[in-house]
Amino acid sequence: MPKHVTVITPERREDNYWVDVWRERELLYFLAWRDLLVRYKQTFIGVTWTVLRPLATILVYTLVFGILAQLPSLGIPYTLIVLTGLLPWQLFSLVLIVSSESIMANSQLVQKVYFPRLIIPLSSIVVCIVDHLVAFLLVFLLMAWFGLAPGPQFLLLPFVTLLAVACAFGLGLMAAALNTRYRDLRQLIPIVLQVGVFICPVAYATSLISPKWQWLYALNPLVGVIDAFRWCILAKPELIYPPSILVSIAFATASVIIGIRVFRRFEPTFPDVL
Amino acid sequence: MTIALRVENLGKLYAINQAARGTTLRDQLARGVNRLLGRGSEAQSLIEREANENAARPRDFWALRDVSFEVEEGERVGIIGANGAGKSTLLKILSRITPPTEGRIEIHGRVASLLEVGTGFHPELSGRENVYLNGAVLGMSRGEIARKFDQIVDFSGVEKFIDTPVKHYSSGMYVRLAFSVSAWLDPDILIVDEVLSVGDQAFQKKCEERMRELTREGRTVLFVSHSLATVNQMCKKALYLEEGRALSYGVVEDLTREYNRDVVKQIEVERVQEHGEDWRWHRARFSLPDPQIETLTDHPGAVECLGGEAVSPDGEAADVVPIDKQTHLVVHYRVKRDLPRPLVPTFNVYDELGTIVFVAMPEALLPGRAGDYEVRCVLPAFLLNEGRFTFNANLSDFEADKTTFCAVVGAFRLEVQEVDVAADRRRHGYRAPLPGFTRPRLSISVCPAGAVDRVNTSGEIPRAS
Repeated sequence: MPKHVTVITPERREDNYWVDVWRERELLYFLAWRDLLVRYKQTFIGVTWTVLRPLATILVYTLVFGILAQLPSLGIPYTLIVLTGLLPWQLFSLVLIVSSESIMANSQLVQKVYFPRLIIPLSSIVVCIVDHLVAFLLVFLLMAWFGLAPGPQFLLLPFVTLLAVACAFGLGLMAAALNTRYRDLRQLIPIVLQVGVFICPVAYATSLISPKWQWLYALNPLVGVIDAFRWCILAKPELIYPPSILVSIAFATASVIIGIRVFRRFEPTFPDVL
Repeated sequence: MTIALRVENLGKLYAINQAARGTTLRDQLARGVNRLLGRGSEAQSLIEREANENAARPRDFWALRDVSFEVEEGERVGIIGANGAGKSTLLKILSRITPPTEGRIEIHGRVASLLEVGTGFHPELSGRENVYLNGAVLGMSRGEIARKFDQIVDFSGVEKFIDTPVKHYSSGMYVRLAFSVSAWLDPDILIVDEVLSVGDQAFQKKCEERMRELTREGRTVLFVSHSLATVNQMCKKALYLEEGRALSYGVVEDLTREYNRDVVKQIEVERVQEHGEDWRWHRARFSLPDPQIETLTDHPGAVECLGGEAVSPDGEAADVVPIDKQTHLVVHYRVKRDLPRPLVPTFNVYDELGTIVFVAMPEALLPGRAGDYEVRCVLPAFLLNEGRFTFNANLSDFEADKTTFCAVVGAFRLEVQEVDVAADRRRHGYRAPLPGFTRPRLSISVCPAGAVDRVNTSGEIPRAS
């Protein structure tokens, strides 16, 4: 039987990187499985926390923005406005944080075993998506509470979810790579996210922005993602501003492509700088 | 023979002060801001000044340079060298963890590298889960792990706790389970980095056996270790690295000898630095007191060693001894007061690295009455092999509470030298150095089968008549 021949040279191994990623898909599966096991080892407690955390935030935001500040809600219960803003935002921020820290968190693996490093951030976001799906229970719960039925747009949700993940993942890849060189980058991300939650239509609907400035607001790529998510569940046409969706799609694509480029460029030096 | 691994002119360059060039975003920003504000040389920031200083220092260092070697299929090759010689870097490049700076490597077959045991173990997960995870990290498929699962757990001896989170394991159990996963890898080429030294003695034995078993199945193995003894046992060939360069590559006995010699040479260099230029390792004659010679006693004032000399049979002092000549070790003692019992004169013999070769016990005793005495020990020809040996001279009373009356540490340091190899009737064409501490001329005889009574017992090879 002819044996597989591997050649190692200083040049980057472009040719079969993706073949290697595919070959190591089981490792991807196992790493994701590890993260899930650790998080949901005791299923009941895991699920409870995953639901309780957003629920608490929703209640606070509803109280502050809906009841105290009396922000407009297009006749929708304010709780639902917050819920449909918070879920995609949480998915985005969690994917960004987790993927940006994935290489550092698995530095032991990086230094001791070879495999395409992309496996690590890829596997790390699985747990974020599962978290999102668990938290999605709240959507059914609150819709039932307020007596709403899902419309046909509901079927577009997977696509919107993917869009949110893609936006965050590309940025996360860049951050993960740069994190290995510039250790203080990780402190920057939570700050950006803290500000971001108010720049994005999480606790309010986009309709709050005056129509004159809608175009400017739409340049924030997350506006399209959150609006689309909200629209899929609440089905009000005035919730959506189509150009913002195009911005989101363009951003997500660019983010992933550039993210992978940057990541691969830094990848060979990971074990040397960690 | 087919090639399993070919390494050509391999080199790895590390930038030493990469870290000093500002690895935080803050430093980079600070530099950028300073540049923007156009701060001149007088207001140069501390960071920048530091960076400039660093630039003046040598930036790079070759962890590995010009390393070339070939390994044939089924060969076991040891990699030896001191700390920082580049062993780990070589392994990291071979296992593709880090790319080389120059050169080329060709690997034929599937590689598994064990640079550490238990890579990827997670404390919260159970033993069972970690076996699967670690197996996957090491490149096993799910089916493969499932098939070997029982063997792995059985080998580790932690069956009872296999469903307990490993954070509750003792460190011994943890390491045993971790090694067991690695022990069932099935690659064409196995790269191992000193992972044998895990667990208690019994488990280490088991690991070594398993490693030998693995290698017996025609697998190519690269094995890195500090322990020359282990390399010697496990490998036929070895690569000797020093400061990133391959000093030599060849039969493991030659290399270990070379490595030992280098270690000794280094010790010698340190001694010369300590005691001055005319310090010499060899010592055929000594007289006490001498600040360089340590003497021990449990009974001060009872016995004194005055000195001694190593002489050839015709009485000449010699620190270099031909292997075919005998040597007499003569030590002079002064017994200062009458003692309850006579004393036992003995000699301990050590090799260059301090391993004891043997202890010589005497027939005669030193009388326990005050007076001067001379102890003479005859080292026969062809007892010690070529090499350097250190002798301690002792006087003891093994019936006393404290037995040592006088011990002179390193009394003699002699070098046994090979004589004309071609003229040696016992070599029969073998010209390389013979390994081992001793070179006794034992009787090895040959006779036609069944003719037992013709066996020659004189120690000479029967000559064809």
